[in-house]
Amino acid sequence: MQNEQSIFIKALRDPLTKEEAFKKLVSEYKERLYWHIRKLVLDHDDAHDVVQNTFIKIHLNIDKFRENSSLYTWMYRIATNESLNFINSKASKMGLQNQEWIEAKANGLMADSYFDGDQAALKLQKMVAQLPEKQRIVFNMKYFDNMNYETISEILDTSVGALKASYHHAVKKIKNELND
Amino acid sequence: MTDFKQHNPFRVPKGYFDELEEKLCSSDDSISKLNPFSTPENYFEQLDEVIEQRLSINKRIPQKSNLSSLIPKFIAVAATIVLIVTLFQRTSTQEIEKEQAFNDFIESYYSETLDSYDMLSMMEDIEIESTFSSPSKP
Repeated sequence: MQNEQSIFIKALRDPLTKEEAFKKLVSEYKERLYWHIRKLVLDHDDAHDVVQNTFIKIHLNIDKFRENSSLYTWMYRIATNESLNFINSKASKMGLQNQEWIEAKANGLMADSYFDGDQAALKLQKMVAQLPEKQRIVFNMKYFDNMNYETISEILDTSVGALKASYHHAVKKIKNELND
Repeated sequence: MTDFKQHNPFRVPKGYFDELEEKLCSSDDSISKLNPFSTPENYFEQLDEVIEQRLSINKRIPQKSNLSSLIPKFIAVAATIVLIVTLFQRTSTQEIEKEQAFNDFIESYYSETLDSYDMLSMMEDIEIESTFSSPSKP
């Protein structure tokens, strides 16, 4: 597996094979990265912009990838950072805090033509939007993407213990909201 | 009433909850069941091409210099701005100082060589009227 990855990364770095290898990479990971980004930024058009920026960043920085982690977690980290930078920039342009911007997005989901959820799904999204940023990311990755703590820990560069605490707090808050 | 609550008359097939959990947690099924978001039709089929186009545009645009190479440029620009501002301020200060010195000279000349009668005689009648009719400041 590690060897397979090294060969693929070599192909991504070789100017002769880079384009072909990159096409393969996009084809392999586009959906997973898109859905990860979409759950963070909520809107399709925003996710479309961020997923493009993510792949551009991957293409530009593949030489800087030190292979300490898997390619997959490295790309997820870029996608997460790009999403957070995007939210930060959009929110600051509107004079809002990041969480206020996300909450506004969640409140507008019912009018979004690319949101097919029912009232329960909408309520859940609104509650997730109210969580602090770190808890929101962890909740999305754990609950919706069903990722294990070790992988999330590598992506977010946070200890497993801290992630468990974040997820526990997030679930508790959502449960409390649901019971009210 | 309490007996009714305690006794659950419903049954599920054996291993139902294990299967349900597995089904809900398996990646493909969980996306379709838990993911309330959707995309335009054929979005992912077209995404490869969109990214490819963005990359080709990006290649045509010269890459931004990295931070370390920008720092000397930034310092040079900042130094030039500081120099221009300082020179401008000095020039305008010198001009103000010259003007002030000239005014002081005129004022001292008149106050030393002329008395109030001489000063009034140099003024037009209208000027004298307006000077004395204007309300004095408290």
